[in-house]
Amino acid sequence: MSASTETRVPEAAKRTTAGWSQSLHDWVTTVDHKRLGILYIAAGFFFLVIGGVEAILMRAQLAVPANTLLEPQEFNRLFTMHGTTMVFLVGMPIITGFGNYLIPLMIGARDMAFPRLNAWGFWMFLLGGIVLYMSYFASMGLYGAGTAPDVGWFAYAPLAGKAFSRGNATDYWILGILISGFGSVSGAINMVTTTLTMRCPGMKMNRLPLFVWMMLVVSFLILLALPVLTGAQVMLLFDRFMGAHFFDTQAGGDAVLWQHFFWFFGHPEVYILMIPGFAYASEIIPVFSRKVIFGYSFMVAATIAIGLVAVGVWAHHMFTVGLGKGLSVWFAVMTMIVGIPTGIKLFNWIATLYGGKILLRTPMLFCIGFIGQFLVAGLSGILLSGAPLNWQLSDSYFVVAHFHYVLIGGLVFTIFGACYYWFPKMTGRMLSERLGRWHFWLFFVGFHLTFTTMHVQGVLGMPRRIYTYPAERGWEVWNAISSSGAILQALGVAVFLFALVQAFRRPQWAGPDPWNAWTLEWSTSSPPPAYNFLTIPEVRSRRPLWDLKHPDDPDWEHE
Amino acid sequence: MSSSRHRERRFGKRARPQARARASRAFLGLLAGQGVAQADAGGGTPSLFLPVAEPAQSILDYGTLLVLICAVIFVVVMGLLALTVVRFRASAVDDGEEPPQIYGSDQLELAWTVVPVLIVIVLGLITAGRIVALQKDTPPAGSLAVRVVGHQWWWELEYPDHGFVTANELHLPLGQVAFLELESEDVIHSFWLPQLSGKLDVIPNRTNTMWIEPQKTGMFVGQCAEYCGTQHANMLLRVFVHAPEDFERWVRDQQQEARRVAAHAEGRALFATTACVNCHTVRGLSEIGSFGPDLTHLMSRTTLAAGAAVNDEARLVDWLTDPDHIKPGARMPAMKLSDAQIARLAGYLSSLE
Amino acid sequence: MDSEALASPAEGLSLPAPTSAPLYLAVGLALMLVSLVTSVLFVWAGGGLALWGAVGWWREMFPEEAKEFVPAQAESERAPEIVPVPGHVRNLVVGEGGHRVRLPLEYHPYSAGLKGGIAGGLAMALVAGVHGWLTQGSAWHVFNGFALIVLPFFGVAPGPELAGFHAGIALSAAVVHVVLSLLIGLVYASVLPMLPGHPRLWGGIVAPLVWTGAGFVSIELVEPGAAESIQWTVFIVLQIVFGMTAGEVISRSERVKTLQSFPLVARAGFEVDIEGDEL
Repeated sequence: MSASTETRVPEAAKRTTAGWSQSLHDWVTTVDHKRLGILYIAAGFFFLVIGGVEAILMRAQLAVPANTLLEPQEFNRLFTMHGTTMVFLVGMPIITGFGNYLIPLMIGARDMAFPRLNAWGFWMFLLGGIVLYMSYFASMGLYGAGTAPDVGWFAYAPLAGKAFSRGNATDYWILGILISGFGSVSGAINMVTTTLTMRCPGMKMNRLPLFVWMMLVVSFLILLALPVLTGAQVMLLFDRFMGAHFFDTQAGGDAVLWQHFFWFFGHPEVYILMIPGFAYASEIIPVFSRKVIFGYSFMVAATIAIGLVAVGVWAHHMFTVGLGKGLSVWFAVMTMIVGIPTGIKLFNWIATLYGGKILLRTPMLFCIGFIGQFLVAGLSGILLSGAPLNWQLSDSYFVVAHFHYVLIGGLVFTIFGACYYWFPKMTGRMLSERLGRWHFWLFFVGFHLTFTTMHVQGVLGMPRRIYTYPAERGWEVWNAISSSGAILQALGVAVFLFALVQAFRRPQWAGPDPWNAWTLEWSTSSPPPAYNFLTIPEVRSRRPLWDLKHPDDPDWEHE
Repeated sequence: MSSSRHRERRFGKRARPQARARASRAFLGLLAGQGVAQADAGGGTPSLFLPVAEPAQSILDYGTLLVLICAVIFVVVMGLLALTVVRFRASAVDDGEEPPQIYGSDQLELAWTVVPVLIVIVLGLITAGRIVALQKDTPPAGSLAVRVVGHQWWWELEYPDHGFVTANELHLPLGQVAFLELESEDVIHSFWLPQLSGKLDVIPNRTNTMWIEPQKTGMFVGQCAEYCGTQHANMLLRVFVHAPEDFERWVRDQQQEARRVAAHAEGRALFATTACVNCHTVRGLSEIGSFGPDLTHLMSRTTLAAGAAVNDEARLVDWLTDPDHIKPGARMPAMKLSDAQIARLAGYLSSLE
Repeated sequence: MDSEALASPAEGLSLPAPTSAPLYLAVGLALMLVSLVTSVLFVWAGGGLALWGAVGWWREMFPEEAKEFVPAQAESERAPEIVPVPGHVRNLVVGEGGHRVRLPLEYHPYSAGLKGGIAGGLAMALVAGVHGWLTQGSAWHVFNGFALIVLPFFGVAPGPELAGFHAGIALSAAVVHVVLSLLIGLVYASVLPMLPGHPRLWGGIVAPLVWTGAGFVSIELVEPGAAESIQWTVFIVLQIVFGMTAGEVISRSERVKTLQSFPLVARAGFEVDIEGDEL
């Protein structure tokens, strides 16, 4: 064993002498969970910019009625790529990235359980994304039809079948997601194993930071849901390449079967994306309220409850297919039940704030915005769960408003919060507080201009996924407001990117613990050394750094 | 019925926001070039808040209840959040002290678990009741049967009891329940008339059923609500609700065979001898075509190409010359006819009243 | 574990060595899949790369895991020891022994809530039955009225038929009634002690009025006209009967101190004298 260690050049030495090619080589061959985490997050933000540009093009097209900026097919490709990108190439890698970076640090481990699998997972995800975007250049196929896929991000059969989607565009969609799906599943296996087996001494399950608990639930959901999607996509490939008829309605296949498969994945996927948002908020809110999280065990129980209920509500995406009375009632009630554990979480966050000393720094601003917006998302979700009302609102702009409240108002806000919170740990530099405030307010106002108004378009009868709409429908004003909000959101993101650049051009050093926080990642240097902890820490409570900072009043006396 | 009195009082007098819409459109027209060929023959806003039929009215009532409950929750929770943030903001001067650490309260957790459980129980029961009450699996006695077939990208509407087929514009009598059977020829569509009924998907290999009981005469718009390909956006739908005697007259007109006007004999011959007849039926001339809309009474419809354009002779010429000009990606091919032929054909088609 | 064995932590640690094998495997697999839409050549190219990656990966792990030695950070780069800041945590004035109480300090036992719920539910049913019997000659009317919400399942319209006995309706009404009574009893037991003022006011008057109002709006919206068939004064009286009874039963129960207000030793099971309390 000692032989293998001696033959390698020490990494620190490499870093000092290396040029850019050596450093590129280091990043490409790395198996360090921190570097892979950063790669995941960076790739996620790269695709976020692409997906954002797609969104802005769509909003430009819809700003006025009967616009001719985009051809119908171009618009259809844009919303397909936008949805697919944001879910699979932005949401998934960023949540995996933060999980990768933080789980070992939070549980006092030196790496993930399977460091090489971790690297493989990242490359599979990235290649999946590349394959998806290759469709813009390479999918002319035998029939010369299409460039990027135009079947919508849930690719309903039979529209995605061979008969209605010719050329290879849809195949690129299938393959891209299938490949990145392998990455997600391997990442989930890694996170589960790491959490269950690599906790430092004293880190019992009931002392795990809530972040780690929630990522554990997310990982189980990924393991449960993604294989279903992969399976369904393989079936669709069989249909398209080998003449199978699973979803081929012209040969007696079943169009609704695809919807069941897709949403059996798709609904848990919503929680896969949303629970990490809860995870970031559950770490940030206590630190900036200077209080311990309120009702730790209830937070854990609520997360597990959400995970369990998440797999029993998928057909609420399908209230309009004619489910019949029994199934409609079942899925409506199950969906309403989701409101109970999510309500518990909201109340616990507010109770954590209550009586605290609330510091409105940028991460906290994003988290408070998140609480309010997630409340609205939850309530519009209750409206949508009422099946009779869903018959009206489903597939309208109300639904678009609802899930953007969840995914932007909920997830993206907490992701930005997490970026401001953990960026100092990852790089040793602070992000500018002033730019952070600009970012928050621009994005906040833009978000509400765009998506709050979409509720109105929905109840005024505007269906989603239309590239144009006639004048005289009464939708013009609302669409114009929506589109103008998109500009503000883009400005907000631009400010964020500028803040990232600033952090490197004019560094403001952070030190190991800039927020006076309580979890283990703040006990090591920023950025942490490759081995995280020189000596593995030992913990006695959920907030080990609190214990060290307040030895006369440690947590373990009270838990 | 006392309930219908309620409704008139509550919803009858609200003015449509058309004037406002027109003004804003004029303003926005400055921002980008107005495109070609949108059907501008009125229509108004298909708002859920202006129901003109059952079950849309019942759904709105149910929805209002949900909205009220959610509004109360919103005010309570948002109020708590706002008060908390304002009251417990750290003061500008840091006293260096940590606030009291409070771990939790089983009683509070119990309270904010059980209260939502109570709400869910009540809401679940109400919802279940509404689902059962608003779905009808079999046609009620004395209902009007209509068969709706979704195509890429238009609606085929068949009145089986009356023996004719039309397209894109549904005519219904006031006060009579219409029982719709929804089927699809190709991909999944969704039939949505916000002011009359909730939407229901139109799925190949399946027959879904829905019912509508119009309570107000007039023209109301809707459209396909499930993404169905290139021209999903221009798969519009219109409903005309008539007084019963007007509906009877419309039915009698539709049952006639296509008009033969001597002046358009050439156009008719052209229609019968080109590929038109492969896809389109004109009763009394050729009944083999079923891929495109039935044209027997084309001019009785107000729009062309499922609402993509106003239906008049000029638009017909445009449409026959190049369908992509009006509806890019439409399944109808440009027939490459000469201008003279197109003029004759358009003349014939515009005689099909 | 290996890492500790390899070197003393003071000098540095051995970590899994960087490797390009996973990248080769990933590219290879992706190329093989993409061959479906490109060229069959990619199967061979991808297969080769994947094999190369798989073998490389295997060699990373066997016969022994490849490690890289990472020297420890210089002392100056390390995070400094965390400095204790004693005495900087504010206390709540309430509470015994520890300031990090779980609130409230005292609560009614949950069993009291359940008992209160049952008592309230029974009292309500009793009053309703007697009232129905006196005014309508049938105790069932009120029961059935209560089940208004589930009527659509039985295809019964609100109206005169409601006077008779309907097994399905009576049973569902009973189930809904019992469940709601128990749950509301539980909420009362946990929340009433925390509210300012007298619990009877909140539990007996305010809460029933609130949900009567909510009930009226719901019924009016869901089944327009049906609200007229309900005698709202009776309805309110019934709710207040429930609230008063449940609140009374609960507030008579012994209050229990929350364990968290006890000092650690007491919670750990040692017998200690706690001022003014008996364990």
